[in-house]
Amino acid sequence: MKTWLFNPFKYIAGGKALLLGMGAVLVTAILSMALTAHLDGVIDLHLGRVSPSYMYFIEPLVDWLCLLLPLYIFGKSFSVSHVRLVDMAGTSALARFPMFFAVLVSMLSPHHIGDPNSFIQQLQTDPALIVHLVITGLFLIPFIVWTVALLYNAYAVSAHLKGPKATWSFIASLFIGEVLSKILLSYLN
Amino acid sequence: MLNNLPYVCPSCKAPLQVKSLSCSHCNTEVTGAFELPPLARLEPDDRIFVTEFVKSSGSLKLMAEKMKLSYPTVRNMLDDIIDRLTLLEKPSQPEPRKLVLKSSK
Repeated sequence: MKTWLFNPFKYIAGGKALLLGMGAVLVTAILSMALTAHLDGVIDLHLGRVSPSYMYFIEPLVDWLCLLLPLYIFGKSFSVSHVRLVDMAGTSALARFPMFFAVLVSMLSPHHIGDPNSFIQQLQTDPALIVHLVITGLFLIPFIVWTVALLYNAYAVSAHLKGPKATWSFIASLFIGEVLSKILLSYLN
Repeated sequence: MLNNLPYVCPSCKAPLQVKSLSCSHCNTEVTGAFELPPLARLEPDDRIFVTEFVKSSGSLKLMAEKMKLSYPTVRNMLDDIIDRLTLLEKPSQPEPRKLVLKSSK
């Protein structure tokens, strides 16, 4: 059970993982549009609307591609094994499925209550809303941690890397991916 | 039941050698000092993997299907076995026993 939760890539990789991962990305995008939460970064989830509406679908794809690029380059550079793009693409896509639950948890956020345009003003006047928002944030953390753990295992399995080499190159990939996605999304917006 | 073939000395961890071989048909016995091939010195699970891999015509895809594991997982297992075989092929020396000398002042 633990393997299925944190390292399903032991059993699923390649094209099958890519198909499942893309399915999860699509379902998450639909849900995020319905719940006005958007994934504007490699491991980011922000509450509120994004326009135009197709950005709800573009954002997770950009996030996935921006992380895939450094993961694949580092994997190819550091691994002595044969690293296949389809494995890295598939496992890193499937690793994003906990974001579906994170978006689902965002339903608890108070930004759905009342007029979204005046939400910032409401926050300034109502401290209870801030507490509500912080509590929602706390509920979101485990899903973000779960996503990061899955992304690391996706990278380690696809590139056959272990130890500090795997850890440091993964951290660098996350950082590069985050910066890349922010730049690209701001350009697309 | 056949016992697992021991390949390292339980005392000093140096590779064991075959000292005698016998024919169960005519009881002829051959004695000498024969080195075990690296494949025979692999762990039993690794030997099973290598056997199945050869029987699958060296196809990792087929192995992944047989083992119900993903392709990269099977490839990683093979890479680990290659690393172990490379180590086994190197002429190894028994670990030197460390002598601790205490000076009495």
